[in-house]
Amino acid sequence: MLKGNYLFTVFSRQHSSYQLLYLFTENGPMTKRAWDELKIEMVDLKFKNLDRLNEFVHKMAEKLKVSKAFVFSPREFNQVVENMEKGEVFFDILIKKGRPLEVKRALKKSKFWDNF
Amino acid sequence: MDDAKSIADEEWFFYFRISSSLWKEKIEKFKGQQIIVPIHWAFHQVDEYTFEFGENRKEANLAQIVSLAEEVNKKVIFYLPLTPAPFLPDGGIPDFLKNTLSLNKEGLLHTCLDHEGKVNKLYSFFDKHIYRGFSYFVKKLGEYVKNEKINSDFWGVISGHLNEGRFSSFLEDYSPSFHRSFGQYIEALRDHDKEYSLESVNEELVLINRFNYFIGDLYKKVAREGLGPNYEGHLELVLLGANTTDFIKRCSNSDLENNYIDELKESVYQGLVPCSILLGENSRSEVFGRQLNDLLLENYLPQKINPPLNEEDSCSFSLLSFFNLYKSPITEENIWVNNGLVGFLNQKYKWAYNYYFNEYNYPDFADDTKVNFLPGEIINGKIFGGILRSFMEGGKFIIEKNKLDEELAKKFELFVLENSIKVEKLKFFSEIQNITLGEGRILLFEGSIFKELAENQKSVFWEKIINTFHLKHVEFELPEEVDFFWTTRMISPSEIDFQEVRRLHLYNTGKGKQHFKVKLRNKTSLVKVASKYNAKVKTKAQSIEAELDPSGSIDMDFGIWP
Repeated sequence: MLKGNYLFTVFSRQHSSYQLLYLFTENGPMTKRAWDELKIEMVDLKFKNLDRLNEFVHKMAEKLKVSKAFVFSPREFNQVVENMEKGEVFFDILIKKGRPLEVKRALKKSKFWDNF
Repeated sequence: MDDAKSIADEEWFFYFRISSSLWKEKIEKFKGQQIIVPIHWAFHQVDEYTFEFGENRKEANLAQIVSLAEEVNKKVIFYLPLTPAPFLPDGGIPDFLKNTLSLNKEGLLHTCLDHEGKVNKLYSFFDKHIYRGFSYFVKKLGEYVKNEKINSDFWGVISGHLNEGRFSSFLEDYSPSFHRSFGQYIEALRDHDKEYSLESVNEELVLINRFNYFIGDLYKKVAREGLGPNYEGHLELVLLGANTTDFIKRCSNSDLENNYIDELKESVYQGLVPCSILLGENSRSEVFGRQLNDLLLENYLPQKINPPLNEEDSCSFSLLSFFNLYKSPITEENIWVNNGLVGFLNQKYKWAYNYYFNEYNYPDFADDTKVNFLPGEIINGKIFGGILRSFMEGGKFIIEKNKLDEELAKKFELFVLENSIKVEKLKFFSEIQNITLGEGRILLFEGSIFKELAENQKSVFWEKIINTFHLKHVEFELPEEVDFFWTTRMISPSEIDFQEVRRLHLYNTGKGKQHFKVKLRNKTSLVKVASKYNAKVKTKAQSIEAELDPSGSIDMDFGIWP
């Protein structure tokens, strides 16, 4: 099982749905084995609206027992990477610049998706 | 500066990171005979019109590197990046050309960590200013090489990574610069043909692929023309640790132990050149380092960039491969996976077959010892001509005929009739045509049958078909943690009894001891244990028993009898 204090997800918007691109913690990305352990197939990870997406991130955060979860659009993720000089600061910047979703309550639509 | 900054593994010399007063000392430290020197464009171009090749800054003097290497009997091979180069800051381009950052298909920035954990961002090579700048730089570089009478080989380098097993170049880009150029390309197609339109997403993907190739070819042409006789061609370099998942892994320090062994081998068996220079010490296990050395540095790379010219040298080992599999670039579907061939080969001939995904990179069919698997849909007039020529000289082909062009199918029938070539028709799950001419063979089969077959039936089908080619291979079962690959060499005059000698390279990638047995079949003998490290080997009449400690490895040579 993937462990960590923080969950990071990157989604892209494709037509009318949202596709999960990356899911990782500060200890590394989800491996195929970790997905298998959770009995989730990567191919299924498309969401028709923001509520479903938030619900998924919320559930994953609970399964992985993290304290905070972050969702990034490609543009937001790029802003983080563009300003990095060294790989060692990656997670610090993600935590600093990212918008955390509260883990233990239902999530509402947030404005950051408007950045797509 | 320390060695790690100037001498990466794989005998690369980062000359621009070290004072020229230390070059001699560093060059003497290289173990191999060849030193790879990546050209850092930005280091040689001060501004739009000013170039630097050692006139004011000694560290830019490439001729001096060649001369120092020659003093210690080493050969310099220059790598000229033809795409953004993830092993150089900003991909290698000069500051004044940094304009549009390159994006991958997912819309994320192409960024890589170098071996020191520094972030290298890449810029779009679809930017016309970069293309013009590159052309001007290579022209100046070519003049310098000519004036200085540098005789070294220059290879154009297309940097990329493997994406689900398939090579993806860092030229590929979805930034605004790319979209602008691609739009202009479509406009040009429409100017040529008013009716032209893109009908499907698949068609667009094929066109993007063609456009990428077209732009890539422009950069290759610049290098070929600028460097003249020094230019040897291009290499497709798979930079291990360069994709976005690797980036995340490497930032989180979860990029440990053997992550790259399969990628290393997958690259080699696709005719690509794997390269570990981005990886830091944390990403390399001892056993990975040894495989990298045995497979890449001692075997594959020297033959790729410096092939043997005489027969004596051809007695050195090269990778063993029985088959070439070709995949259509048009469809996402991989027929060789779906019809069970890949599964079968991975059981019986693992790491003994090549795979080709890129229509622009298909090898010719010159090697008549290999069996070529082709889907009908990739066979165009040129490939068809190549197949017939090779077939007449002993070439072997297995063709899935479902989507074979009707006109070519008719031409083929005519060819068979006119030359009175023997055709057998067999019924085995479906109708199979077996066409033979001397050693040459073409076997045509119906791909649609596989939809109705169970996995074990698919395996039976391929086993029967492949057995008809009478290939000799040593079969063995290994624990999951033991990795391997095969090399082969022709025999020397003192070994006339054997047909060839094959070397099995075995590595324990696990944490515990591993025991296994290799059974010797007919027409195979153990010649010698060529080398062993943390390993024990017992030979018996019909088998070999081995024990590998963690990180242990063994090389065993087998003689194959005629």
